[in-house]
Amino acid sequence: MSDLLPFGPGAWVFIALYVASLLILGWKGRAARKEDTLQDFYLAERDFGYIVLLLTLYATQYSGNTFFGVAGATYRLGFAWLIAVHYMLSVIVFYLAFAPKLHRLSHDRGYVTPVDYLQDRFGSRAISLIASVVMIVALSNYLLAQLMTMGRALQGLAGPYGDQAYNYGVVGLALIMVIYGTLGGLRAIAWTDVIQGSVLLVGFLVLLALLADQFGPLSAATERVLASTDDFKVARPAPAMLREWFSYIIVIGMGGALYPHAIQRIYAARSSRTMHRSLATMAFLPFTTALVAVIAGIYALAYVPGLEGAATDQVLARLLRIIQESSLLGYAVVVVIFSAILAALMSTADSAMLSISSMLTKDIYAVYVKPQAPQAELTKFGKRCSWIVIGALIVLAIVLRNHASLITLLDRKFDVLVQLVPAFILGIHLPFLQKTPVLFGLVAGLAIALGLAFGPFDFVVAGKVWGLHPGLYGLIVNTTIAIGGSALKVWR
Amino acid sequence: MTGQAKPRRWIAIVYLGLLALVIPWYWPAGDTRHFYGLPLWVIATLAALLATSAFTAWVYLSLPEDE
Repeated sequence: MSDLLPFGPGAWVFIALYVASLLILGWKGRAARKEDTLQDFYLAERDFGYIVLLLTLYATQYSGNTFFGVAGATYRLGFAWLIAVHYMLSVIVFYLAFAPKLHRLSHDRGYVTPVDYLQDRFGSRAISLIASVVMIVALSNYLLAQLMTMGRALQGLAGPYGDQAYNYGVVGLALIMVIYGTLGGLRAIAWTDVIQGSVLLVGFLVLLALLADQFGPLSAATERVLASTDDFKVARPAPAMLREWFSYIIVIGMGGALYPHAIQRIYAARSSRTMHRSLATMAFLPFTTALVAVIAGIYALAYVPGLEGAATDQVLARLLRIIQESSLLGYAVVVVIFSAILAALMSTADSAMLSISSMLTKDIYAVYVKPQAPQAELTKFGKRCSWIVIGALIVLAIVLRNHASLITLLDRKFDVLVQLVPAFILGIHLPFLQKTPVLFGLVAGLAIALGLAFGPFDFVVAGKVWGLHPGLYGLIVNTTIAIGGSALKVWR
Repeated sequence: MTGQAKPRRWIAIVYLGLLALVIPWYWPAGDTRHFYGLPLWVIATLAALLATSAFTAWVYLSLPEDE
């Protein structure tokens, strides 16, 4: 890749050292393995302390989408995409509804995957299977988005060689990730997250300083936007956008809290105190990340105008290229930010990959294919799953390169994930909730969410109905059936 | 705080109030006044978001511990 990008040997040495450190941690994670079990490989023996848990949650939650998708959406919609800061925070708020109790249960009952809880709570294979499929599909969608963003990160910086750089970026980085992920499991991934989370935190703050240094104060950027035809992007959002804002908070807040890899980190917390302190700190991190990406989007709107469609997801890369070409210091700092972008992408993608592997192994293979398989065999099967999943998604990432904006991918995934809210969040608090109504509610919710999202309906505008996500309508019906049906059964 | 966690419904009410402050439905449409580049409605929203973060951190840190 070095002959394609305008990075010199020094920059590539820096990036190579960073990537090498991830591989070394993969080996270290393997060496630290205590036993060849699923609990060790996928939950690191449930022994994460405050710093490791915080940085692994942080590096996992803030993804390539935070850098590229949020900056791109701000470019398209303006300051209204402050929604991203809000939905990142709302994920942490919705954890309050179930994480403390789920953490306690997971330690008492030995859960490895999120579906372990559902099976324990409802004893329904149908609910468990549907939940597994929903989570695997949603997470594969997420992983695909990260891989595509890896490609775009290089594509945006490579000028006329963009197409080749995209392919090399997807394949190279995915291979590195699957190597350290399968070597050391969650332990290795969490340790790499400590490095990646630190680089990410520094990278966002450096980006903010760099934008101000290169382009001048934010006030000048805002004035420039106001003087253009994009002036409406500074004003308060229109009522339709306000409804959309509300919808994002509910759908992404709840759906994001139910990300399987995030739930597994709750399982992996050493104690409730550790988890509470980590999540309390996480409540402030949208301001150091998502907000910076929004501001970067405003700078792009002011200084790189005229982009449309999928190209808007590359506005950050365009900004970085301008900074990079302006001075030696700018060049050096862009290398640091580029590393932070890689950190964001890889830390999210590796966690998603491991979580998919755990669910395919524990919830599908060990239940339907080989229930008597010993733990060592299951771990081995899980590692193979990681390779196969990554291989398939690399092909998809290359084939779908020009077909979907990042934010489109984001929307559909949460529409389905949020349908698990009654089973998880209500199921943990309402003892009267019963499996049959929960199952019917789940099926109805998914059918409505997917039907509205992909059906040929005129009233669905930009993937939403009256500004609200299809998943929200599905969730309302889903919850009504789950609670109403259970109450009816109890009453009878 | 010790012992079994009890439902604290007032917490949900506070969150609803904060949500109503974060989403700027109450701000005049078409207002493009800004302070150091941040529109005034953005500053109001960020202040409410910061209050939500602080409240959330407080709730987490006041939860009972198991061990």
